[in-house]
Amino acid sequence: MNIKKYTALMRIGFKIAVAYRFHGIVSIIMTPVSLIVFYFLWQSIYSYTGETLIRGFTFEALIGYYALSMIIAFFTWSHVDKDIESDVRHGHLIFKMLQPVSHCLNSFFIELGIHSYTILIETIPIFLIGYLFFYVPLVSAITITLFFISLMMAAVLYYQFAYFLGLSAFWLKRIDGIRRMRSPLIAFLSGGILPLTFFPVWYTDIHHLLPFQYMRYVPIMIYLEQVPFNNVLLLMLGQFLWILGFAFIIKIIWNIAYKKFSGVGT
Amino acid sequence: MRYFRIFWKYVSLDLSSEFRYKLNIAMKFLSLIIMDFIGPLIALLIYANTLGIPGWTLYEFLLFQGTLTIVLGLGHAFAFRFAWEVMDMVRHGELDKIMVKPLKPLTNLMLGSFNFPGVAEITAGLVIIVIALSNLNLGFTWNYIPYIMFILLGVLFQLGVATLISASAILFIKSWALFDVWFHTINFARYPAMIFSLGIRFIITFIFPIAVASFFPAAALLGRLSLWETTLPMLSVIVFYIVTRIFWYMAMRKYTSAGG
Repeated sequence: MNIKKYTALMRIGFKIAVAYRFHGIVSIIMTPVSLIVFYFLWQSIYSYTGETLIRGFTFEALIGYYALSMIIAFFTWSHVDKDIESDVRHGHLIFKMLQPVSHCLNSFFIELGIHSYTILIETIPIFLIGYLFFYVPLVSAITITLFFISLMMAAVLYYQFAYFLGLSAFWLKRIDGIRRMRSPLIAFLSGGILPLTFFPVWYTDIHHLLPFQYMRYVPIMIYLEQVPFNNVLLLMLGQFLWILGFAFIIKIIWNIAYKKFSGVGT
Repeated sequence: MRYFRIFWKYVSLDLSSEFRYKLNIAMKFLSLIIMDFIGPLIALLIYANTLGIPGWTLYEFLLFQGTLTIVLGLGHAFAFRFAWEVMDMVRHGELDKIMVKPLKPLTNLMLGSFNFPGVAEITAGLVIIVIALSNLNLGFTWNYIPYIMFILLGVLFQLGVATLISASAILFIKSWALFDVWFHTINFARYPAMIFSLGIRFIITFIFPIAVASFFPAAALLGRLSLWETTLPMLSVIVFYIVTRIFWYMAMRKYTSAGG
């Protein structure tokens, strides 16, 4: 297998990230500002309710949860549905099909390049801010390693889900409605805005069967060491199986979708 | 009257382009409404697990959230679009075209700022408010007058923010980052101002008066504001708007057609 074509795509992604580094600086500054809101909100709720433990979280653990949720959000994002939409509408898809990389992997490695910039430059400052101000605990090297593996799988899964939604552009042509809904809805269902333990029982019963918890909740719980070691491996296996499942679904839908594509607009 | 005619022209242009893709606009509408119900869902979950936010019952807090949704929806529908457009125009050096039109540039831009999907958010906000009010039994009070005034001032505030962003786009060319800053700042309006420390409360009331988008109208309707607490925030929004306009005219004087 020729790996060079993939590293070339990653280099492109890295260059994009460097070009937009100002954007990264702004989000490193503004993310703690958003966390301040959650800090004050839960401070008032905890003191008003008068309990130290709500749904398995102390105040400090919950703030750490939010900080980790925002850190994970630095890695789980994707614009691939936008790429698919514009490729289909403007017909650029034809040029991408001439490349030796499949359409799905093409955008994936570019975004992986952007992620690698985030890992290299932004990880340390955001963890430092989280540790100093927002109760993100220091954990063992094993936990951090497991967390990063789980985080990377979460990023892949998020990408696949965005790609899966993006494929609807072959039928709908314009999908900005779906695109705009994607990220807040995933953030909510994956426990990014409120831990899943706060959800009603019927949802906690079915969320094991849905892919959403693997995009944010699982990596956070692994970092906070809230799950026993055996369950960690089980959850990571769940992430891996979902990735395989989505790869399969995407392949099938892509084959159907590509038959529909006519190249109008080139 | 002339302004209204121009505004209407822009509205019908926007509608005809949106309805070119009928399925998409339906999806957009639906997804915005779903998004706007995430906030109330979180409120329900918080109030199911805790005693909630001090001083606010569940339905009072829903009234608060519905008000915020309406104010942001109005801003989305009538205020914010031109900031994006100015940014594009500056980058491509097209702002000159607006300057040679017979209308004042800022007036023209603001009139053309209608954005249909905002209507979905206004609808969602109305639904949330109706649910909240039907459970609150407020009856008829005169407090609806400051409530509506605050909502309108919330729109004026967002026009000010959009003006500020546009003016910075003229000065610095690239200012998308300011939109990020704005989206993060909105979070301070999502919960009652009383939960914050005094310093933050001062900033979101007088310096960057984002609390008029939710806290002040809701508190006014519930009859919790004294006369001073009603009038001072109103004044600070008007001052904020005037300052942003001054900033805009300063930026216009510095404008040198970039890109070209």
